[in-house]
Amino acid sequence: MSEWICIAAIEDIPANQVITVQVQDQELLIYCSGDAYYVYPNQCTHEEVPLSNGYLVKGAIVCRLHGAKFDLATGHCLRAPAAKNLQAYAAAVREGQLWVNLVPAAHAEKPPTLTITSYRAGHTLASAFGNKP
Amino acid sequence: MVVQNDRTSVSGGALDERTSVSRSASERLSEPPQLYCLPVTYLPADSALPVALPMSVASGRGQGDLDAVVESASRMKRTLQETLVTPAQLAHLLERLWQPMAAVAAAPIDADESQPTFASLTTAAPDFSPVMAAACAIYDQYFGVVRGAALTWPQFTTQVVHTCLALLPDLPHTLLDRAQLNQLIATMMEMFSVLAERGQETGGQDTTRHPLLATHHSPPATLYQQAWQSTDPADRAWCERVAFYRWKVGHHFFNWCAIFCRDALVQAHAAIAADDIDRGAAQLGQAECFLRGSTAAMWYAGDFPARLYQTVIRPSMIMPGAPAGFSGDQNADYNRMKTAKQELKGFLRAHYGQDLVALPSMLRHALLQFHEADIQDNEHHLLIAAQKVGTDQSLAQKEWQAELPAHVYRQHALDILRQMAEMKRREFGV
Repeated sequence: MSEWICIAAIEDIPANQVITVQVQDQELLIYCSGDAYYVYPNQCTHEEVPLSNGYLVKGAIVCRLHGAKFDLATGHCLRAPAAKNLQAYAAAVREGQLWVNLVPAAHAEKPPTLTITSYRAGHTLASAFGNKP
Repeated sequence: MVVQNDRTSVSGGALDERTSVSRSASERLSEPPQLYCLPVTYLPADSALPVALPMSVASGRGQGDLDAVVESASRMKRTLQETLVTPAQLAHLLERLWQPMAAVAAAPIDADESQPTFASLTTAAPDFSPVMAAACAIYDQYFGVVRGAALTWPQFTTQVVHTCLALLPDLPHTLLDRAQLNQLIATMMEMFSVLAERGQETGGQDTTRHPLLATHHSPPATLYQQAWQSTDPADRAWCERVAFYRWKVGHHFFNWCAIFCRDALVQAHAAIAADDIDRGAAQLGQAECFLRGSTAAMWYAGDFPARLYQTVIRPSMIMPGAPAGFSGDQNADYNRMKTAKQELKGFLRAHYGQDLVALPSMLRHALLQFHEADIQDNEHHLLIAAQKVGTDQSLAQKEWQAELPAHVYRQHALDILRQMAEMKRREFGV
C-alpha cells in the first residue's frame, strides 16, 4: 500500500508522550519528540501485547508484560526478550496534520506534497498515555 | 573451543564459581563421580532439524537402533498408560529403554566425518535483534548449551540420545506424578519416531556419533539406585548437586521439546498451505505432544525443594559480568517455537477467517488440542513458579521494573503468567 493517510492533527499529539490511533483495522502508536514524529504498530514484537499499555522511560517504551524495551526514535530493541526491532512507518507532517504510509518506512514512497483535500476525517485518539500504572 | 566432559566448563569463570558447591560435593561423595555431573549439550544454532544429507554413508545399523528405541519407548508408554507401575518397577522399565538408547550412543565413531562448526548466537541468529542474541547466548552459557551450525543427522541424533540418557536413570528418584512421567516417555518416543522417519527420508539414518559431540558417558540406572540407597537424604551437598543436575538437564530436554515442536508447527504450516489437511492435523498432534513434553520437562527441572531454588539455584543465575534479568524468555529455541506458532496462527486467520470458522473439522480438532496444551502449559508454569518463588518477582522483572517510576505497581511473576494465560485463551480465537 502506498497511500498516505492523515492520522492526527499535530496539536492533538502531546510531546514526549505516546498516543494511539485506529487506522484501517490497525492500531498505531505515535510518539513525538521535538519536531520529530514516529509511528509504529502498537504491538510488542515479542508477544501480541499493546505497547501503549507499557511505560515510557527516557525516549524508550517498555512493554508491560516482559519488559522488552524499544528506542522510540529508531525502533531498535534495547532489551530482550524481543527478538525483533519495531518497524517504523513513514510519517510526514503537512499543514498541521500527521500523515502516515502503512508500509514500513524503509519501503515507503517519498512523502508527496499533500494537500488538505485528501484529509480523512474521523481519526480517533484511542488513549492518551503517560507514565502511569 | 575446548569442551570438557561432565562439567559446564564452557561457561567460563562466573559459572564455575556458581557450580563450585556441586563440584566440592562431587569430591566428597563416595559413589562413582560420574553420577549427577552436569553435561554439556550441543543444539542447532537455528533451532531446526537437519535438512542436509549426512556426510558419512549409512551403515544400515543406525536405523535399526532408532527403531529399537521407538519400539521400547512405545512399549513403556503403553505400560505407563495402562498399569499401576510402582517406583521400583519404573526403575526396571526405564533400564529397558535405557539400553537401546545407550546402544545408539555407543555406535562406532566415524572419524571421517567432518568436524561440526560451532556457532555463536550473537553472529548466527539473523532472526534475533543484537540484544536478544546476546541474552540468548548468556542463557545458553549458563545451561551448558553449545550451538552447532548445520548439525548432521548423526550429530543431531547423538545429542538427543545423550539428553534422554541423562534424564532417564534419574526419573525413578523424582517425585514427578504419573502423568508427567508418562508424558516424558511419550515425548521421547515421538522424538525418536521423527528421527527414524525423517532420517530415513533424507538418508540420515546412520546414527554414527561424532567424536566431538559424544560429550559424556551415562551410567546405567542401577548405579543411580545404589547411590540413592547409600546416600543420606539430608546431605546438603548431595541435594544441591542433584538439584543443579535436574535444573540443567531438564532445561536441555525442554530445549529439545521446543526444537521438535517448532519443527512440527513448521511442517503443519507447510502441509496446510498445500491443502494436505490430514498431514497438517497429524503434525499439529505431534506439536501438541512436544509441547506437553516441555511442560513435563519443567516439572522435572524443578523437582527439588523451593528452599533449594531460592538459596542455590536462583542465585546461580545472577552471574557476575552478565546483564541481570536472566529469564526463560531468553531461550532461543523456545522463542523460535513461539514464532512458528504465531506464523501458523497468522496463516490460518488469513485463510480461514479471524474466528477460524471455516477450518476443516479435523484441523479444527487438532488445533483445539494444541491450543489446550498451550493453555495448560501456562497453567503448569504458573503453579511451578508459585511453588518456587510465591509472589516474588522474577529476576528479569526485578531488573526491568527497577527503572520504572516509584509509584508504578511492581508486577510479580504470577501476575505476568496470569496475563499470558488470558492472552493464550484468546490466541486462536476458538
